[in-house]
Amino acid sequence: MKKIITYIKNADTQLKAYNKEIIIISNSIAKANNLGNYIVGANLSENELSEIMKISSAQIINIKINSELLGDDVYLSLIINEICRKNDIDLVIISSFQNELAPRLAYKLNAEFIANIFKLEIKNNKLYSTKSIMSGRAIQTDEITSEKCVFTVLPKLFEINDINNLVEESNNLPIIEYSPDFEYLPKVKVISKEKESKTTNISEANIIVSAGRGIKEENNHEIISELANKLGAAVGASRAIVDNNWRPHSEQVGQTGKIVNPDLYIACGISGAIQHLAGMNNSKYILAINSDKDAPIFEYADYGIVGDLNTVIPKIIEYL
Amino acid sequence: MNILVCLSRVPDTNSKLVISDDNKSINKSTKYVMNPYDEYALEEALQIRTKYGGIITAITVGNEVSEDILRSAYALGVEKAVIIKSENNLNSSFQVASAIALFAETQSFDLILCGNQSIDYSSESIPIFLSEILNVPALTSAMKIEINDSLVTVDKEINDGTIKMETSLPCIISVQKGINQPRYPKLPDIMKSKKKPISDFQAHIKNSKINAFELKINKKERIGKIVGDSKEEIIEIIELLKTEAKVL
Repeated sequence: MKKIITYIKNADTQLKAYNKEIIIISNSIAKANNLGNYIVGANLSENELSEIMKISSAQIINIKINSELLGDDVYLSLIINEICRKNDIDLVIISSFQNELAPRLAYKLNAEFIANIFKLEIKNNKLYSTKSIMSGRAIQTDEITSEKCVFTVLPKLFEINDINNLVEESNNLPIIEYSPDFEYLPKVKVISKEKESKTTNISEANIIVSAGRGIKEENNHEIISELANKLGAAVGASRAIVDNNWRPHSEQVGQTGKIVNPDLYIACGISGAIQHLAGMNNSKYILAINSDKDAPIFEYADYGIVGDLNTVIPKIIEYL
Repeated sequence: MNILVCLSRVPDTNSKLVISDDNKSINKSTKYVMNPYDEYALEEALQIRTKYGGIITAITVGNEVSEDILRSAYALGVEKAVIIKSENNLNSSFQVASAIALFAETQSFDLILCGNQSIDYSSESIPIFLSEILNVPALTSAMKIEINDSLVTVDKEINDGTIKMETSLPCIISVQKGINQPRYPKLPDIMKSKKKPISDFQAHIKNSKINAFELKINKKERIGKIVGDSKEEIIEIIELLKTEAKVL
């Protein structure tokens, strides 16, 4: 591998936390393996560009496109493919949140693709990437002998060595502006977008407060939201209460919901079915609150409080 | 409407996961089931057929042992079932998608349905690779599908809401949990499914440059401090979260 490029998704105003993390990840890979370091984004704002330059000396390439096409991964993959080919870039790192852009780019680049890795090493021209498989029950390391690779990475879990030395001074390289010169007609049209009024996205959250059957009634969920608000946390749910239609599927954590890895996962009234554990067992710390002292969740918890969540949570809120 | 539904066979979460002695693969004794997300894709195919007519072909990429999930698809009412086989090991999602695409190219499908992800490798990339290889649009994480003539509208679940998207047939759609309620097969249909023909399709796929190097069980060590619900004990836990775990 000679050159690494990292894709940064535009967020208008400020750089998202996961974007900062991915820049640090690419700095660490570039530094450990002596690779040329590039960052690419589309319509990145002045503010985002200066934030990137505070933490990275990578060459920045800012793609200029019609803002209506910003969410079009087919278009972006065509442009980034051109950029990679023109600059002999052979390693691409993309956040696992952009899981459609990455395989499209891999196909066009004729590169191998692996999703959701949390570790990457290069030894003797071979790459070794590591990811969780089987819903988090096993960990697989792959050996890759391809000349080009595209990976999506899980920012919160990625193993970085020497983290303190990875924030780099900018080289003040001039930013390259790149405008595609080909015609593009999208095959998929976005008709409308409905936003849910959610403050914190569960996949990016540092803390998640999750509710299970132990809340007993839909109305008792208020106490979960209250604790989440107090902690600036996102709200999660077990399959049982999603299937009851008490909470939307977008909150479901587990095998048929989201796989999350926050710093702290608070499981409230969740017994700990294997399908739920599959979605949260990679959390850094787990606090379980459950009235059943034999609930399996306690075997997977760092901290546990045996008690009814309706009396325990108010005590927590009061003390916080 | 000619519908292709892609089914994946995955280790059953409820059975113990055993790693083979080579530390590279899963022990063959592991119990396998149809990928839960694919049950929604299959149900959606059945509902679309009811509304718009057509036939459904169910496929899986694998070998003889994969027959069981195709029998389940027969029991629910698909018209055809095919096992796509490859002489090479398929180590990447791109190879699996390439094998499906080779079969799809021999037919003229209007709609290819998949589950949003498989619970074994969870890369969510099969529909995207199919879209690239076959050069047809893909819509992912569908919570609702509507078809009017050749116009397809999909409500897609995103992290902070939903997007309504539109494209035209032929296309690929991956479906999210919650789009429907999968039905159960009836006993006579299960019996009949045992006699239905399952055909083979041989796909010639290039070897991947990805090879499994090491596989191990994920066992995270936990602190395991469990207390009662007195005020003092709760305060102790909150303090530990602040000072020991440093997450508050």
